Amino acid sequence: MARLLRGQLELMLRVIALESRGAIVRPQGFRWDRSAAGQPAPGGGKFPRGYQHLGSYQFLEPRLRMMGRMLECVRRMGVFLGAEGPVAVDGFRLRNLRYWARYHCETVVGCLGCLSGYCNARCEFCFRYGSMFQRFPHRLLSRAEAETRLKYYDPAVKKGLPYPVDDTGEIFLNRELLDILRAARARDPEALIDDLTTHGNFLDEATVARLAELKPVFVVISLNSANPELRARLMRSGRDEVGIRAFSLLRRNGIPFIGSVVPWPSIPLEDVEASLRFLDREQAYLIRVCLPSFTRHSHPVAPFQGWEHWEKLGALIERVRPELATPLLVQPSWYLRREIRAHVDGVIRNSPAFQAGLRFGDVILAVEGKPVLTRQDAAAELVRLHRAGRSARLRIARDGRPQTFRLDRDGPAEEDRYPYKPAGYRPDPRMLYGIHFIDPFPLESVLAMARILREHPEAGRILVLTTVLGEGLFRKVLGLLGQSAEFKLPLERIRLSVPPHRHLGGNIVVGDLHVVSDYVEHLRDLERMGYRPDLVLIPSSFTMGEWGLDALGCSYLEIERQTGCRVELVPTRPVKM
Amino acid sequence: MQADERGGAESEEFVFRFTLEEVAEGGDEQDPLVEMIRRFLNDLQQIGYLCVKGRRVYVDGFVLNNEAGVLRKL
Repeated sequence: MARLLRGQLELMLRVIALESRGAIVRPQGFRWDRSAAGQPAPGGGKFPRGYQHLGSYQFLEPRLRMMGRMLECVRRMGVFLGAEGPVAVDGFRLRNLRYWARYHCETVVGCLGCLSGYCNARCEFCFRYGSMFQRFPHRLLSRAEAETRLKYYDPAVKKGLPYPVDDTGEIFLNRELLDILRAARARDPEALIDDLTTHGNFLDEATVARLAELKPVFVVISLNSANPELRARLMRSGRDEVGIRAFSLLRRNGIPFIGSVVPWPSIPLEDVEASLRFLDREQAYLIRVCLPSFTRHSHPVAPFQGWEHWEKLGALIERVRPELATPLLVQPSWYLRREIRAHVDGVIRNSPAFQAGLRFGDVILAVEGKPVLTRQDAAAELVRLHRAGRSARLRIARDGRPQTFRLDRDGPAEEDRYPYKPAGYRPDPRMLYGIHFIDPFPLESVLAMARILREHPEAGRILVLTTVLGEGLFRKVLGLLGQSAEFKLPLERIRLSVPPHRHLGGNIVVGDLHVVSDYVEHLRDLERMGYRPDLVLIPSSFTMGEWGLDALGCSYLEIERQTGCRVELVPTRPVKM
Repeated sequence: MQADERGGAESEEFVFRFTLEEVAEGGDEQDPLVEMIRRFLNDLQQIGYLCVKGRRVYVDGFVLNNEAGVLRKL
């Protein structure tokens, strides 16, 4: 046993260092002594300041928590011995940060993790209230931590230190935010600084001007209502006049933004419409409409029932959309439109697609003569052409009739095409010449499904678990592609089913928010009704990170363990909420 | 002290530290020597699975050689 213990510790100590009350300790031995074990931890039961929270790292690097649990167990067996006697190990730190700089961060801001865990708003619609997920102690990113994270972030390979996955709050509550962003800009001089989501109530003239010094910058900002009184009642954060005025300040300073609206039922529909028109006048890059969602934890008394409110909002959006020059992004994006074709969901103002006259509802049939079936096909072709610095000729169907459009290539960086590409912003191929698509149906997940099924020829009953919004689309895709030579799916053996969101309750319909217990209970329900699958396929998007953990930190493997049904995750991408 | 022990190559770097208090579990009846193995196997099966000849298997207990016949459940 001693050898086992020594071996484990030696391996761990290559990448972490033990601590006692915040100072490094270098144990030279260990004495078995249970009576002396279990030294008091710092903080005396309260989570100590200055420490990272293992729980918030578990989605990215669960082995940190494993090491912590092992060390805690070792601590209960006896005492570590230092040069001057027993030392009370009560924590550990990462050592050799170069070793730890191995985690993918898509953007320079992403490598920083959560900028602020605090929020000073008490939005009526916030579904994070209650005990939905694990709650970690809130923290603000310090400049010192940010600088170390940036030092180890490599923009060329997009890798950095492990970062906590926390609830994000209001970023401008972090008084060091602009200094941190300035450091990020210095680390990656040409990167677009995005991932900045705010309620805007701190964005006064001076702050926006300082933010503009860091361009290229992109902001997501909550409007919710352009009426200060209604907004104040809904968000309960104060300074609503500042928040509403922030939109024109961003525009005047050439910072593009997505304006966000959550049309909660307490907001009259005519006010929702006024807010959409306000954002259109302010030249938002996109207008995001988040259809109101709540959980049984956030709202023990349901604020509305059924689909009626969403239906009213859907009708309003479809009526107003043709009158706006700004694309409307409705989330969940599959609520209003469930199809796999390359349906144009809007065009960004002043983009090549905008100037060419493309509009909502057009369906792209071919790009440069090459037929495209899906949004993914069209997007891939457009990215390829953009990277090659070329214009793009599109054949589209408008009101059932074919037409041809040419999208010009983007101009030089200094050209101002706000909000599509303000002066000084580099054209980005992923902006697809300004064509806005909703989330594509992930056809690669059907391919992955076919591969998994080939690996399980013995499975007679195959159950695919999906979502309320995904089910119809999935059925359509299986019907269209399932029999083709590429897929060859045994459709007669496949059953689709939608587990209820028992854990979250409320009106949650997005599959990414299923948790393991939802799947387990659903499989048990099906078994009680006489159906027991041989193989269960679940889209991987319900897990957070790469480790197959649900939002509660429970492994998808628990589903198999608890039900005895073989479970495979089907790789897919999350659908935006 | 090695140069990188403070967390990185330079002493002024931010220290990423974690407390053991967060993972402390109550109930000391269980022998920590056994508990360590139990935790390791449990944790391992949360982030992956064990295989026998390439096939996925779950273990729900273990037996230590020095206490033959005593099945420790996970």
